[in-house]
Amino acid sequence: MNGIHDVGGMQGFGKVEQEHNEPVFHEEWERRTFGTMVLFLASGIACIPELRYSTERIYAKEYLENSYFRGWIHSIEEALNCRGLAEIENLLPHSAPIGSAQPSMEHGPPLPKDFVMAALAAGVPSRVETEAAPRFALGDTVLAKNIHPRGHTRLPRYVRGKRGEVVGLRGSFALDDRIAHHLSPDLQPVYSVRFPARELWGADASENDAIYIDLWESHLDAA
Amino acid sequence: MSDSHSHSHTDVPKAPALRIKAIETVLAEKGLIDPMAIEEVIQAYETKIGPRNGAQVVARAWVDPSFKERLLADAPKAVAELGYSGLMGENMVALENTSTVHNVFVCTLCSCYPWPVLGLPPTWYKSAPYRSRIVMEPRAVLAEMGLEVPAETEVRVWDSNAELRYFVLPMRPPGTEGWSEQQLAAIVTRDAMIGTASATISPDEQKGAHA
Repeated sequence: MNGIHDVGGMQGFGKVEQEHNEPVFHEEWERRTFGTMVLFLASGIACIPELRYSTERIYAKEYLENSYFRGWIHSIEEALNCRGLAEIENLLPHSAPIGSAQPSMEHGPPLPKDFVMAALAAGVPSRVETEAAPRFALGDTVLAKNIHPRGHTRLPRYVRGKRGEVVGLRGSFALDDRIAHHLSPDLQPVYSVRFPARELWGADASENDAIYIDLWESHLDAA
Repeated sequence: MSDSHSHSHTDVPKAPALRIKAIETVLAEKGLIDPMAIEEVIQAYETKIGPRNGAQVVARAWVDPSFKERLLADAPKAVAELGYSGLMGENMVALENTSTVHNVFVCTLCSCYPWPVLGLPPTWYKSAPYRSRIVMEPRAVLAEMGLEVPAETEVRVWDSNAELRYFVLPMRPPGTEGWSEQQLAAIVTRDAMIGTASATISPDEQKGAHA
């Protein structure tokens, strides 16, 4: 969706405000929200793209005004509500998902305290081996698709319709645009694509500079 | 509206502190989390998993050319040699700064960040000003943050919008010849590994090193 989360290249947000010696968390409830979220994800009932799509659907005004971890609370509420596990009146106003299937109720047992460090160190591997040959090769010129899906996408607006060069093959990954909607995983090659700054921003940009972005195969056309 | 449903309406307070408490209770009741484990997760990122890890990786790469080669070829594998791995770093890529290329990374769509080496991101990294501007006017943003990049240097901005997670291997500052790995790690800041700063030493440190 062309939501407020997709801010790359927008203007008018002001200066980058840095906090000297910033703590990892500012509030006790932020600490608890973080710890709860990691354990909730470890249960396997919901995936990160689904939760991202929830925060993207928070109304723009609220998205900008509310602190980051409130979005996390909101996304856990949404994951519980859409599975009928709770019926929580959300903290933040938002739009409904578009094009989502019935979510899975499957999950593993709760992660016990003694296994936390091992689980964090193991992570959640997401790269998958596939037989399919990548459609594009190193050095190919590609065109980011000009699409405006109503649902979740990891193709940001600022590269759509722009021409870039494949500079890396990253392996295959499930397309977030589908799993955010509880649709069956679609494994696709992901490419590192280099866009010259002038291709994206015009003649005012430095001719030396470039943006590198990882795009799934279905985000790209041959140029 | 909720009364006609088979499940009960969950009454949760507006204040986030009370709300997350209520959610913890719901998640525990549904068998999804063990509340006793929450503090363990939090403390891992408050005390163990943070930018000091990344600084150790950078220092090692500065003193050990073969480690640097492994780091640039397969960052998760090389970083694991120092004991760091896992969540949000399963597919890390190290970006080497040189005299001709300066790297900086962002997540324009959300807040993706290489947790095993840098911990959790600072607020500014997750903010709309940084995410919106660094892709379009990186030199202006870096200058505001105190880093002037020479015009002839190529600035590469990496948007970590898919499953790849980036971190920057800054240039080793002159005047650090002969320093130990621990001395070197101490001058590697979080921002140098994001690419919004460089690794530098103060004039005092320079003097001390020469003495």
